Amino acid sequence: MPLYIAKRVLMLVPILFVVVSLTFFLMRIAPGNPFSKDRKMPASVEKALLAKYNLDGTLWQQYTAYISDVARGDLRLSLRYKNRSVNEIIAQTLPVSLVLGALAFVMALAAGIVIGSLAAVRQNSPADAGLMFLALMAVSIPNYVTAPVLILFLAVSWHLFPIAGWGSWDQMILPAFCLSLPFAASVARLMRTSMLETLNQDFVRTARAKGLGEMRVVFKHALKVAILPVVTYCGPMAANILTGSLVVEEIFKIPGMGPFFVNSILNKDYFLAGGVTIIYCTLLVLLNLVVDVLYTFLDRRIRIG
Amino acid sequence: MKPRSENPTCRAWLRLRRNPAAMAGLCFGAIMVLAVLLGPPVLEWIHGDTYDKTSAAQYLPPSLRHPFGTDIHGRDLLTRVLYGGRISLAVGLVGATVSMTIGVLYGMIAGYFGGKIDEMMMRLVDILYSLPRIVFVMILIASLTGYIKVVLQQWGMLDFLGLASILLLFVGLGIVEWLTMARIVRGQVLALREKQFVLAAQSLGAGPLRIIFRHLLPNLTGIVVTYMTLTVPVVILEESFLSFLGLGIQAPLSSWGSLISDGAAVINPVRVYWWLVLFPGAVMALSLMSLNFLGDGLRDAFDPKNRRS
Repeated sequence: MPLYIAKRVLMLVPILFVVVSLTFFLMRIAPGNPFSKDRKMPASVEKALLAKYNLDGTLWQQYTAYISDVARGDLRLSLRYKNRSVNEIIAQTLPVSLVLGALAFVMALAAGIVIGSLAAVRQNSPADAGLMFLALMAVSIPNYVTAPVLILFLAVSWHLFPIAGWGSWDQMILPAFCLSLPFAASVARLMRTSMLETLNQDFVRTARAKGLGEMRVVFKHALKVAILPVVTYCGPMAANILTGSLVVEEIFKIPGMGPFFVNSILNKDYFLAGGVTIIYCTLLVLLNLVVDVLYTFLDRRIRIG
Repeated sequence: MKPRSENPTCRAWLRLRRNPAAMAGLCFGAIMVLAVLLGPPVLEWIHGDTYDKTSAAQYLPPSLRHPFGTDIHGRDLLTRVLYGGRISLAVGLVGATVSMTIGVLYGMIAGYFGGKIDEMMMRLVDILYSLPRIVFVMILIASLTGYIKVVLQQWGMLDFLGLASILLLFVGLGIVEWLTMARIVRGQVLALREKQFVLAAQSLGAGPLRIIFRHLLPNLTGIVVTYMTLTVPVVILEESFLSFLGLGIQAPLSSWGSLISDGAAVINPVRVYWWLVLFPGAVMALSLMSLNFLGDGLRDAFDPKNRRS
């Protein structure tokens, strides 16, 4: 197992190398440089600016210089936010995005698992049909629709929550809820299907025959097996929560990485976009590793090494 | 259709017809397509509204004349929602077709050849699964839009920028969503290639290409149609996500995503223009829901596990 984990962590190096290179060259397809949008500046000034940000020389020279900087952990200066380094921007905004993402992640899992299991226990009842209808609805409504609508009603009209901002608990509830809703619904749908299959298995019949209560059978015995598809879904879900947080942070004016990233792409802030992409990919690759390891603990039939 | 045929597609159709949610989805989808195609010309004929016709009637709430109200430039929102629906649905369909083509080819090659090739190809899919693919599409689209703009400027054809950005979305979104399709097709092909008819074809001297396209592909129809139905809403969601962030459809063209984005941008505590968010959002959500219902129904209908019913 330690060998397996070490191997997977080492895989991060080639993956990040490809990711950095891809981002670097993709950003350079666009003509012009980040400064050519501003007022016409004297050629000497532009040259000095390009030199300051290591944007002079051929594309290949710039690329190799950038790669070696990144390898040393220096993500360089942002091209748009004057005199702020990418490392600094990420250090300030990453914790905010992490808290929001983790909150949404936990909420989606908790709500999805409970709702899905209950729907499975009451299969074909009106409650099951209603819950699954709601779940399919929630899957179909993106969070950039729920967020403005909930802001309009809960915050603007009824003053139940603050409209935007970040810091206190009541400011976190609404964005985390909007972000988690579609994923809670997906988890619930997965959970229901898998729980239905599990409840038909022999060990569940044995548990029932022992005289255990239904809730104990479902949440103590069946859940351990039925949760496996949900665990596999955790990886893709994390990636989707991450992209979802780009818009949720934008709408709720949360000072996370999302708005910085979107602006960096629109403004050709090469190094900020590159840096944030590196962070995103590292986070997700590591999270997927955690999920895979967790899976082997839950499903003893699988051995990795 | 009478229950005379024993062919699997026919049986699946019979099962689908007994699923009210899926049939409702199918009907609503058909109505939506008709509305999107016929709505704009009809509205133009009645009121003279087009998607980019501005007027002084700014921010009118819904009324008989403007059932969905009007936006900041006094444009009729219903017209814009229907017009945007054309773009959103087209992007969804074409994007799903692109991803289906890639996914089916990839999955069939991996599944048919198996062994080392399969392992490598599927490892790549695993890695791509764990990365935020849409992030790369965002960068790709932003850069290529800048590039195309310069090229079109040189040719003096800047009017085609809108069209070019739609084409870009077709491809950009098509190349992100093929992973699920590839996995599913591979799984199916792995099972299918052990079947006797493949052995028969091989012993008759058929090459891999012929077996893949003539013998395996027809057996994948059900599953491919099902997952394509489920991919369309995903691609529409992604298009609207990009348009929401200002990377997709550019004004004055509209898509559901860009309309929602416009509506969300004017949210403020003083004046509430609820219709600008609610109507585009509701139309989009209903369309996606109907597609998801249909997809779920198709999956159940083609599922060999409930053959008996």
